[in-house]
Amino acid sequence: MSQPVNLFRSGYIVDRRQDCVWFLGLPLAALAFAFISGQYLPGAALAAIALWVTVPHHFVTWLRVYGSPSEFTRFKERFIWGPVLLIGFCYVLLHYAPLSLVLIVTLWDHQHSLMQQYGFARVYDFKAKTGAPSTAKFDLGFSWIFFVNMLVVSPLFSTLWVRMLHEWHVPIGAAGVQTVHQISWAITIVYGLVWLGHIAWTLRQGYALNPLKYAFLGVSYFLWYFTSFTTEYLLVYAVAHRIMHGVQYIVMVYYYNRHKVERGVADSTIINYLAKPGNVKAFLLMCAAYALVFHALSEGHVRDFGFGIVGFNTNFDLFSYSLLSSFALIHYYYDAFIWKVRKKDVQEGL
Amino acid sequence: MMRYLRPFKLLFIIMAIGAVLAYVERQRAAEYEHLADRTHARGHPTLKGESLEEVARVLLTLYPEGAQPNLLMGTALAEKGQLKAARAHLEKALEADRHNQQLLFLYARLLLDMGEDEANVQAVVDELRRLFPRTRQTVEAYFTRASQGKLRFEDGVY
Repeated sequence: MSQPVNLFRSGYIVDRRQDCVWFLGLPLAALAFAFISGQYLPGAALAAIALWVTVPHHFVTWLRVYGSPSEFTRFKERFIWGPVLLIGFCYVLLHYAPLSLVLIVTLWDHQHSLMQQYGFARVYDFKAKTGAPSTAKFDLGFSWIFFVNMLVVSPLFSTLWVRMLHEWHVPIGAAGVQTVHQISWAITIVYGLVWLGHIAWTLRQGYALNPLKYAFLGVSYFLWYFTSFTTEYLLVYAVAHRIMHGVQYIVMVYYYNRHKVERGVADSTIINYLAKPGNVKAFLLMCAAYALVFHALSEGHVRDFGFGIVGFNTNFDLFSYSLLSSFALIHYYYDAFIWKVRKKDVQEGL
Repeated sequence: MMRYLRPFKLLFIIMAIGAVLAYVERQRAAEYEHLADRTHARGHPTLKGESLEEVARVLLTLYPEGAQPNLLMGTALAEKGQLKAARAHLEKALEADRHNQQLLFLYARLLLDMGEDEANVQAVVDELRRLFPRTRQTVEAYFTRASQGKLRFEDGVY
């Protein structure tokens, strides 16, 4: 690559307007909403966010994998056995070792969150045909190191992990925590410089950069760092994060399906219907209907359909509660292999 | 057989990690007895006694003004019957965060145990009822019982 090229080349996940709203503006709006929620709304607000954002964002995964015959066939065994095994796994862990379940769900949730933003960053490079071949690895390193640093050093999460370690009877002292903080900051600062150096190297080699990718990463990490350093109230972080994560995911899948329909590669009647521009309301209504059904399931309300014969014992309470974790794990599990930007069939919808 | 199982590699890894963690969790809980049993199906085991006080001490060193460290220390001291010291920590925690259900509940209970004026207890319980409407009935029943009927709650009135 020796010929001079433009240093910057923009490419969008959807288009200029949609990207500004959903991928650049939304995190800031979510941040503002979260702080207002923390100030004025009751604690139950988080449950509402979970119901209207987090649960529907699981639904769009189910819609993608179970709504499309070709998608379903591709990973058929995993889509059949995955839920069975994970629901059983969560129930058993919740019953016998609840702290283990909390740990697994928490860690996988964090990994899933950082990988989503990393994945969207990859889409930005894919769309604009920017970055060097090594950019993906450096961005992955950035995502892991900066996200883990936030978890390790921020007051909000430090309090949580120190407490968790004590629950596991790994009693770390204050000096130990401060050492961990210093090491984490040192690694992050050094890697941050390496990452910036790689960007400079990329430009010198004649590869263009997509400024939108960096703006997107900037607002995403700003949301995470700002909330975890300025509030002790987990609800504020959770509301901001879940709005950003859930809404961006729903938007991504909606346009992924729509692009497939527009390009004539969609093979599903339901996705063909929902992805039509005039049917956004139907899509949102289905999301809401799923949220209500899931709420009834996870809150144990379905016992009312059991004629008083099933669902009236502690195990049923435990089972319905375990669905919150198991559906989250199924979502993380599927997302670990259905979204690979390098795969041809995924590129068809981007 | 192996070809059929290969796609489940990630799932098996997660389940193996879960099994190891579960073994360690149960073994540690039995050996150190540092966790209190969960009180209902949706609850989780929490630290108790010395372990609770220890983690509170560590967190207070790091974040002396923090809501969580003060709540944990307040809980540990209240467990030991040191109500006055516990109250100071809970009030400090409330300065940082007035939206914590556990904190408001414990504070209201502590005020009741310390024989505080009923109007002061009622104000905290009302805050709890307003912020956490889902558990309102349980909270009302609990405090009516705990106060031997001195605290009264009218439907929808805080």
